[in-house]
Amino acid sequence: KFVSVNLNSMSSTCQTKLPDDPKEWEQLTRQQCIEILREIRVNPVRKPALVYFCGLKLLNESASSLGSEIWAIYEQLTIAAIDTHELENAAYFVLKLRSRFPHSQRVERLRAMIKEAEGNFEQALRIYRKILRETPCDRAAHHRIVAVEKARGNRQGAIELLHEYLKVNQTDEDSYYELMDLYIAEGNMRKAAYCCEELILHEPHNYYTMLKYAEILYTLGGSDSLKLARKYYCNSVRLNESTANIRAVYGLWQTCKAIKANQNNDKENNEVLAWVEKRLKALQPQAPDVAAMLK
Amino acid sequence: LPKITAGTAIVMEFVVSPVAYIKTILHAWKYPACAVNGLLLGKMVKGNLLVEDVVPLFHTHLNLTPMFDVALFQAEGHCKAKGLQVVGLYNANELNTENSPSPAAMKLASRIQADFSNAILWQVLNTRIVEHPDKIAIRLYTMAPAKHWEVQDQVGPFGTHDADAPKSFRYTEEKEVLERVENAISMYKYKKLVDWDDHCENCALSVFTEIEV
Repeated sequence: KFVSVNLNSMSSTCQTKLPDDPKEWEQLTRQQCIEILREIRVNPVRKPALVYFCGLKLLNESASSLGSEIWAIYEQLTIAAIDTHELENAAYFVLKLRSRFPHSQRVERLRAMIKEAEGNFEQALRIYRKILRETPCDRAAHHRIVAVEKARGNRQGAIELLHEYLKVNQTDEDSYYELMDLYIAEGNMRKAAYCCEELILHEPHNYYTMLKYAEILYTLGGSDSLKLARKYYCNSVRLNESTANIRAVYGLWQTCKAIKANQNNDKENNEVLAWVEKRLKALQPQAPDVAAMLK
Repeated sequence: LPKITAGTAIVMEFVVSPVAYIKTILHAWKYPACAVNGLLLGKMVKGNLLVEDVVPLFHTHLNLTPMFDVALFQAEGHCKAKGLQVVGLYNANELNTENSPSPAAMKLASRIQADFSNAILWQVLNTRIVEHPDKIAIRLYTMAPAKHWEVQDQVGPFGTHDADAPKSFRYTEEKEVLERVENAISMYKYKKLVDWDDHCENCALSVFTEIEV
C-alpha cells in the first residue's frame, strides 16, 4: 500500500470549502476545477479522488487553454493517480512531464513513486539514491526512502532512517511529526514524547503540538505524567479556545477525572474540573453528543 | 451455526447485524490510507452474542488513550439508553499486508473484555475489501481462557434481533449483506459516516449518526 510522508493530521485546517460529495462534482465548472486544484496546491490536503476528477476534466475539455499551469496539474494528477491506484494513467502523466522536463529530479521522484505503488521497492530506492548522489540534501527523496520502509512494514527501519536524517536536518519539522507518528504506532511513548518536545520548541504557540504532547503524556500514565498532561491540555485550550479544539477540552476533562480518581481532595484539580464541565455544558448546543457524557 | 469457544463447552453463536458489518467496512473505506478502529455495540440474546451496531472511533494515532477513554465513557452512556453494551472492538491496520490485530487493538479489546466477558475482536482484512468483494472482510477473535485473543473459523451468521422468531434472530444471507456493502460504497455512503476524530474536528457531527445501508 502506498504511504506518503504527509502531514495528514493537519489536513483539517484547509480554509476553502472543497466539495466532498462526489455527486456535486459533475456540476463543477472549468474555473471551479482550476481553483480547487490551486487551493490544494497552496493548502495541501489528501483528496486524490477530487484532484483526479478535476484534473482529468480539465485535460479532456480544455488542455490547450491552461497554459503553463498544465504542468503543475500534471504533477498533481500523477500523485492523485498513484493514490487511487490508476497506475497506467500515472505513467502517462509522468511521460508528459518527462517530455517537458527531461532532466528533472522532481519528475524522477514521481517515476519512483509509481514504482513504489507497483511494489517495485528496490527500483524505487535506486532512483531515490541516484537523486541523493546528485543532491544529498534533497528532502523529498529522504522522505520517500522512509516511506518505502513503512510500506514494506519495516517501521523500525523507517525510524532508524529518520533518526539518521534528523541528526543532520534538525529543523525539518515534518520529519519530527512523522517520527512521532511512527513511535506512537510502535507504542514507544517516551520517544514519541521526545519528538513532540522538539516540535513544541520549534513552534511554542501551536495548540496542536501541545495537544499531542498532552495525549502522549496521558497515555504514559502515572500521577506525575497526568499532572503534566493536564498542564499541556490547559495550554492547548488557552492557545485555541474555539470548538475546533474540542479535543483538548475532552482531554482536559478526562485527565482531571483520572487525577481525581486517585486524589479526590486536590483543590486545584477540582477547580479545573469544574471549569471544564462548565465549558462542556456551554458547548452543548453546538455539540449534541456532549449531553450523553455529562449525565 | 454454533461456535464452540476454545477450551470450554459453551456453545455460543456470534450473530452480526448487517448494519454493524457494513459500517465497519465503510469506516475502513473512508480512510484507506489509515488504520481505523471502533467499538462494537450489542447484547446477549438467549446465550448468543448479537453485534447490533458500531461506533467508529479513530483514524489517527490509535495508540493514544485519552480520547478512547472519553469515547468509551460516552458509548456506555449511549448504550444504557438503547439497552445495549460495549461488546468488542474492530480494528483495521494501515498496510494491506497487516491482517492480524495490532498489539494496541488487542490491549483495547482486553480492556473491554474485562468488563464484558464475552467480548470479541474483529480484524478487518484489507485485501479482501477491494480484491475479494465476494468474501466477508473481517476475522473474528475471541478471548481464550489462557487470556490471549484466538481466531475463530468463521464470522457468525448475519441477522437481527427478532423476539418473535425462533431462536430470537431473523437471519440474513451473507450474499445479500455483501451486495449491500457494494451498494453503500458505490453510493458514497462512507462520506456520511462520522468517527470520533471527525467529531473532534467538527463537534456538530455525531458519531451516532445513522447511515441508511
